[in-house]
Amino acid sequence: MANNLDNRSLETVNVEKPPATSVGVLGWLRQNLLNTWYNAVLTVLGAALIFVSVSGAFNFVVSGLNEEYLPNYQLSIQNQELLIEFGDIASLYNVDEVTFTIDHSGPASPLVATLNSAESSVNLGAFSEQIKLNGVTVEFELDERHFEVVDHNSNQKTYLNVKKPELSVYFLGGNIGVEYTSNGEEKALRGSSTQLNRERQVEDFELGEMDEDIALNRVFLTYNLETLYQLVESEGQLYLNIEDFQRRFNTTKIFARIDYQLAGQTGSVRENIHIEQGFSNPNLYLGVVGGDLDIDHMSLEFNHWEVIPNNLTLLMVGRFPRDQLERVWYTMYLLAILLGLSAGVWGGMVRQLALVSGAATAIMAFLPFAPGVQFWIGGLLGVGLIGFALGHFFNLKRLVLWGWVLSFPVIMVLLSGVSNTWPSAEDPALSLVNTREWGGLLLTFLLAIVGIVLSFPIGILLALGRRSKYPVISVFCVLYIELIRGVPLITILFMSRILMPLFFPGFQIEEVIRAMVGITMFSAAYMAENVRGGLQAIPKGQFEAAYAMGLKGWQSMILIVLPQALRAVIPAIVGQFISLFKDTTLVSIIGLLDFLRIAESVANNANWLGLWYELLAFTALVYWVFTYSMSYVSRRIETSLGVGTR
Amino acid sequence: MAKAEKSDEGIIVCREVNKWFGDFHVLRGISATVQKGEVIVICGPSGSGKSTFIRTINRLEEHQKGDIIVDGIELTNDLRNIDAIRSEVGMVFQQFNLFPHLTVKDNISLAPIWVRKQRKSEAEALAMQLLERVGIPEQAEKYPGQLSGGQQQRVAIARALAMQPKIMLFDEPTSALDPEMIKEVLDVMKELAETGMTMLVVTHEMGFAREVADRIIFFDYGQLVEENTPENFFTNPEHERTKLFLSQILH
Repeated sequence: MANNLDNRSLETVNVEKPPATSVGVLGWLRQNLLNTWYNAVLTVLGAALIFVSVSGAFNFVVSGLNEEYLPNYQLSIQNQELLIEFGDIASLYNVDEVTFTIDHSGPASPLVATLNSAESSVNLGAFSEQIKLNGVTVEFELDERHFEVVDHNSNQKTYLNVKKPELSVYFLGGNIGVEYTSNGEEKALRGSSTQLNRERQVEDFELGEMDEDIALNRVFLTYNLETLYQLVESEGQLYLNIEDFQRRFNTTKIFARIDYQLAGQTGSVRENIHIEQGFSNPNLYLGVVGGDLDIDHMSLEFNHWEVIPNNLTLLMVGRFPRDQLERVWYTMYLLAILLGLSAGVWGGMVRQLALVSGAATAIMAFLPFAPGVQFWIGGLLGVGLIGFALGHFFNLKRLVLWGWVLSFPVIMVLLSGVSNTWPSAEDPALSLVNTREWGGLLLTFLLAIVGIVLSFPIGILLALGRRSKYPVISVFCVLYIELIRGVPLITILFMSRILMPLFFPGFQIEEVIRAMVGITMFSAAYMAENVRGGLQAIPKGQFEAAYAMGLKGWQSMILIVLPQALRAVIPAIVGQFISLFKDTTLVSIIGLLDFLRIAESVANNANWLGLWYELLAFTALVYWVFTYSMSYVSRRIETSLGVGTR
Repeated sequence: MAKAEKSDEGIIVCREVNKWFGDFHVLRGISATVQKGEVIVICGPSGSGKSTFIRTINRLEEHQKGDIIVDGIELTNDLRNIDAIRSEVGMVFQQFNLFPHLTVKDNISLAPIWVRKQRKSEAEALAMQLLERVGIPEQAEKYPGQLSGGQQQRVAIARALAMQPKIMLFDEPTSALDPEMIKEVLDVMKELAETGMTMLVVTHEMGFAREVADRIIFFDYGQLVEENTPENFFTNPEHERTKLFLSQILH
């Protein structure tokens, strides 16, 4: 007792405050970033790196916002005749002459004109009220400057290979035509624009068999010049109509910058056109008719990032029937209320999970959806809160557990439908939706969630089975794990597509189910090895203590060993989940349209050609948001379980 | 010290118990009888098979030859026998082996709930009782990692007592503790002996052996070399090996 008192008094003697540079922000800086000279150097380098990359990304984001579209032809009026000025296409492609076929609404259409590099404009004739350009086709001949004839010895065919890479950049949507004589016979071939490969290079264009005698008569390239704007005269006023431009780029905001001279006066247009706001007048006023018009400079700018809001439904749900979209909403509301209820009933970790989901939903509400959609997303948050309140104040454990168990079949029914004739053929309540039409983020989530939820217990069973003392079980588990780990996921997906009809000849198992099975089986093998690692980390004494107390094998496993083992490998398990989430992109191989595949198809859509950066950036951001959420939740789970600290 | 009850057959009977680890003959024909209420201290040099011996009694190790009978139940490969014996025999380990992911109270109440199928409230009341008995009721909601070594071992003893065993096995319970904490654990074990528990203790604590043990068994090379009461063991060792051992341990 006397000792204790002494200790207490020792405790309170000679107490001082710590020095200022060892506490607070300064203290942290000093201890962590500036304590040694090399740490200080690293800190400076790191700060420089951050500055460079952030400013680079900022530039991209800001500059990607607007890109000038400079038309590759100009309209002008001289002496009341409409001229189209094409620019020096001949020199651009290194040819002697270029033939233009102009289809327009006036008389004497179509007009065919051949220009060389000295001439550049075509006269359409008297400018009447409204000359509408319907289309301009450009054609020129290619010679040995542009292509070479290539023998592919391996498959005995002769190919035409377009040489200049720049050529292909400009002629998106063009065709190569070849007229040649082989063995005395005259043949002709035409390629279509789909012969562009991914790098926008023209692919080899096949001519014929090698042993044939090939003499090229004529090689030419044709493409359509887009007519993106028109000159319109209405009641003596001249306008520039950019409706075609808006249609082509499917954009709602255009900023027009045009500098021109009309009847000797300089004029300029600087106009922001917002088509979505109902201000859909695509006519830009130029001035009074009655003089020559010369457009000095014209650029139309639009926001590339518009590709995303304009395709949002496609990206989110794929080809899900648009009139049945409310079923997807029902699914999300069901999940929101279950999550809210669970957070209220159990608190703790579940509440963390619900909060993270709520935060992600709130972020999504700020994305540029249509206003009605934002309201529905906000509703999700509201419903979640109601669920939380209910769960907190009432004891609904059983109800919520049953809710989760039933949620899976209910969601499947909601999303795939029941029948096209119930309750009536004109107005079916849950019409059938082919699972092939699931796509976009919806499909990615379905595949990932099913994969994660199912592969986790299967993996645990496999790991335990591998350690079983019954050779039949352990050998089976080892074989399964090693076989599955030995093949790539793509192979498994292919096999599921081809082998399952072989094994179950009568059944038509849906593609999506096959993909789910393939992904689950694949992930379970890796999960098993992760869990086995955790099991190996448990000291033998834990087993012995459990046995000594009379706990049976499976009891000691579930109560003692597995909780510790799983705790130890939470990083590995969550890493596997994150991989699985991203591996769902591979189902595009078997023809399913997941989120990334749809983004890809939008980028290849004629309307949105070339907007790769924006789509990929958006896709990457969405994937990152969800994988980071998983990672964050796992860190919170680890903290609440006290992993690594007790 | 409670008087050990004499009976014809003891509560633990070992006849010619032999065990091999592969080719290594670790237990060589051990025959011993433990009466109910007896406190046996087993000592000997390391590697002599003392821990292995007491671990065979609750089937943590399997003996290849000989018989072990605990409270009338023969120890065979029959799971029912093994389970019955394990519920009567409690064990305390050198490394404590507490379950780190459960609180102290949950550690203790786990087995009563899952093996004896008691209700949670009953089991927790029992746990608190036992914690008071070993002197640390205030640690009930802490996790094992937050306790000192002596406290952890006392929790381990309470955990073993939760199954209300007839026999307690101690495998070097104080060897991993520093001297200040050894006393608190030994005090608990003394109190346990006074209540009449049958105890088999493998230890190097000769002071404890002198005070509490009814018999001391000396092991070497898997054989039971000498067995005697504490007074005779320390003052009159018979075997040469025992004399050598004592001379080294009681300098």
